[in-house]
Amino acid sequence: MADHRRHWRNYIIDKRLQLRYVGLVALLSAAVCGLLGWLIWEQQSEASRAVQHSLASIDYLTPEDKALVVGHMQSSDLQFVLVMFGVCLGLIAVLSAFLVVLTHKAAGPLYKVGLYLDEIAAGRLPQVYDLRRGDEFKRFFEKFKHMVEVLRERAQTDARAFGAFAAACEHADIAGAGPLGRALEDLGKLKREKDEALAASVG
Amino acid sequence: MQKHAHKRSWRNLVLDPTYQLVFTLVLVGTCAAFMFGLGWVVVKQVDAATETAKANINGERTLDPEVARASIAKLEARQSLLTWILVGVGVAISGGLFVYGIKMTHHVAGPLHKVSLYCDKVAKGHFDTVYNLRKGDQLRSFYEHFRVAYDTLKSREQRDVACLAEVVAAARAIDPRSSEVTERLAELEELLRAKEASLG
Repeated sequence: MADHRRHWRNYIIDKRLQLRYVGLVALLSAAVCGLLGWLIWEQQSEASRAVQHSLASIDYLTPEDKALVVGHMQSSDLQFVLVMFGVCLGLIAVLSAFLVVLTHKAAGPLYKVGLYLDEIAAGRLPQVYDLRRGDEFKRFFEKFKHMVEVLRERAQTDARAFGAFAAACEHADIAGAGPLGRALEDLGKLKREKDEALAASVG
Repeated sequence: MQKHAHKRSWRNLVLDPTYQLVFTLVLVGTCAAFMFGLGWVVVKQVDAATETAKANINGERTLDPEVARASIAKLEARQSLLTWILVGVGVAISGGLFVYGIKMTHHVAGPLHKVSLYCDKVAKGHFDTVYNLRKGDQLRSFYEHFRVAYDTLKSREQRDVACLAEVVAAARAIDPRSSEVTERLAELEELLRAKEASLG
């Protein structure tokens, strides 16, 4: 089994697939935070306004003291909103990083199968190695692996049968020129191609 | 590549339970956690505001007790309504996101399901026609890679058939043949039949 370790630089393999999902979750989280944050801000402001209103009717405080209290409340409101904004932003950032790792486990197998498919398209039949632990689409990958294994077995059977027939013709001394000779040349080419296809491997 | 009308059905929405449920539950869970956390802060603030307002009403000596009770009941009803609205909206958003998540992941699981069906067919020795993906499906580039590989396999099978047919015809024309040649020829004829059958 080939050992391929995950590396942080390779975590985004399929930008479209991964960033679409990460972006969606981050946007939804930001929308929820924005909406509920606005509600909290409204409540906070309303409470502050109520206190300010009460302050206006108190006659034992000087206008300077009242202004001090109001200023303190406003700064406390702002601080609360800023802390909440920072916490939400931090959570969304951590969540996005986690989602990149999660989506990598889906994009990784697709990338790997894509490489195998390119090899097959180039006429080779590489040996398929297992997925890494934690990867998604294991059932799909097993079916793909099974198909390639069957194709490799078939190619081996074909190459053996082609070679055995050519050797039998050689023994019987009928592999010379004429229609059979030309056909055997083509059969020999096919056998070589199948042998080469089976020798291929994917890095 | 041809078009083939396969309509989506809600019964087939979950094609890869592990992948689809994990990604959907992360989506729903994240939003639910944010809604719960911030919703809890909202409820706490509303509770505090209601308690302050109730204390103000109770401290107002000049107010008629009936009016004070009615005002407090109104405040409590508003407090309860807001909590229920928050819970209701949270549940509705979570439900909607769950359905959306399953549908979104279905657009990825669908093409993979389709490719795995073709893989099964090739493993069983059948090269069927490859149809297009459905509207809205993802992984179009991946599917294109698969289609090119599939076409290569199919064209190689067709080339094998043409070559084997030529060899078999030329070998049959030779008479007499040695028993070894006859035996090996039978193997090639068997291979030719299987390959012809795989192409349909």
